[in-house]
Amino acid sequence: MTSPVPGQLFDTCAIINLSYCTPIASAFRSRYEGSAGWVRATQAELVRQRSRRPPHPQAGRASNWAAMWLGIPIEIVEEDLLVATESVQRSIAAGCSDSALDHLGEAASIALLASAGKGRLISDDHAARAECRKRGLRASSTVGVAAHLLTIAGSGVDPTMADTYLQTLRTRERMHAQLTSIDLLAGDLGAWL
Amino acid sequence: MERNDLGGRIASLREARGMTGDELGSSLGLSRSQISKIEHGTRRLDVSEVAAFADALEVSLAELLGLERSGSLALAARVMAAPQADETLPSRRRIRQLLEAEANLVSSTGLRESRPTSSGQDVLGMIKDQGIPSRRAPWRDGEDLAGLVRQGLGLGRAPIADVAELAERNFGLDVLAWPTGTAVSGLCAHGQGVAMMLISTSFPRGHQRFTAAHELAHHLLRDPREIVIDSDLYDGNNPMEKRANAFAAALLMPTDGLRDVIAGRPIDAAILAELMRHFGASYSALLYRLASSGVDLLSIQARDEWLQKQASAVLRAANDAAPEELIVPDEARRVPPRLWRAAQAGYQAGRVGIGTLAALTDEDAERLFMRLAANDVLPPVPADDDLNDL
Repeated sequence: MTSPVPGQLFDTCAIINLSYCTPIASAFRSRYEGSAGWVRATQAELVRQRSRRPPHPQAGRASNWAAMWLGIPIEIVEEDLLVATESVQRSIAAGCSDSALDHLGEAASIALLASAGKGRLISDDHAARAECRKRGLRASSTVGVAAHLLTIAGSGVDPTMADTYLQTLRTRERMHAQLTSIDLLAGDLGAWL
Repeated sequence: MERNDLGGRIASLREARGMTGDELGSSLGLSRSQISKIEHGTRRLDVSEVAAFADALEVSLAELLGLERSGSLALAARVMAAPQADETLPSRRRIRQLLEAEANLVSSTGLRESRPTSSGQDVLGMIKDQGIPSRRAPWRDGEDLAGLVRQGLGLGRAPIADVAELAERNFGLDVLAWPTGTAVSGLCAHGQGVAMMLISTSFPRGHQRFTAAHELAHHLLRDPREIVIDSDLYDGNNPMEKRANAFAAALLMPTDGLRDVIAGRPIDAAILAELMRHFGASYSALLYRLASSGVDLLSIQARDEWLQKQASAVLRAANDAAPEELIVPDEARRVPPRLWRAAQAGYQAGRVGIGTLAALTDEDAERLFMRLAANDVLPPVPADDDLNDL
């Protein structure tokens, strides 16, 4: 039996991106610890990225960081959820996967949220968020969440921290858009909505 | 009796591959007893473990889950069937992207299968009536087939401006032109309700046009192979390939059209350059056509002498203004317009995600989003997201 679905499900790329920038990662953790979670397929993707040749330079650190506060990853074992995950994965990847494990974390998260009919996907995979919304579910990028936290007093996220995060994503080639905290405050997130 | 549950399918696939429980287990970091429990259904698997088993058994996740596939998805799976990795893989991957993107569009936008026009239907009817392919020499079938297409579509003896567009408009094929390298010239994938061709633009334009016509022949002749991968178009021992080559040559360079341009003049570099430009043909395809049976505008000996020369040298001798247009690959990128239109409309309506569009253009999703946004092509703003849960 699959565990109850947490309020926010973090996927692989969101975890990697946040783990690159300690201040924003800490702000996310302090706000969402206890309500956020992840699925085992996301953990498996991180492990695979860490062990492949060449290894993803951040996957190990990202996996450790997630394990510290996202709790035990949720397993998906029911037949209908396995089938639903495959369907979501195919929609997201659209012929771009060479391994059955590609995009599996995102797909399993969306299938789980769809089955529960509640919760939010936190993903920096643009196709995954689009797929989530297409299915009537809520989704945000880490940049979208940071933009929201910028508007909340005491959230721990300020414009300097947001700009540092955005610049980190660009430096690590995880983002192409030239967004700044001003854009975030204006709600102008472009592809990162 | 074979069990049709997950464990049973794992056991069947393992045995079909001649693997022991130990061997499968060692590739997955599991013991033989764990494999046994999984195969007997006493240990359930997380989806990530199921995916790992699929990779180890070299099948898709869908196959391991026992999901039936039809249409584009079935074809996409077969395109990627063995061999797993060879020089044709980039082309097979690219056509798989298109097939799976099409399946997404069918399910999310109701996109209907592409059908031939009434003229195209007439041509297909004539091909059937005339019993092509026949037992005659393949080149005769190819010539006759080209004649039927030209007659049925009212093309006369004029050059064909765009072979891809002709195939799409009249015969319901979706044509992808993409720089997929020089290991594969073209690929035709056709099955129930779906027909696609891939043309590699890593070759010069004349070669691309010949490839497109060649792949069209495979489709018109209902080549029984669902997936035809043409690495070397001129490797002509297979009658089907000879027929397709004869068709391509005759379609692109009709005898009467050649005679019109030559107008009785002796064949020299200037005439060859003029013919290459007029018909959009490659140098070697033109020479073979001029010397072929029934055309006889060049002797075999003269053809072979011309073939000793490089196309670039002949074009230079003819004072051609831009020889590179004819001999340098343009690496053009063309996505089937039918699929792109459906994807873009679905995207703007919120029914198609950026991932499907990115698969069509084989592009990074964020860069594609920005490129589309610059042209005011945007998805709808998500409704009812007050972020209160954050």
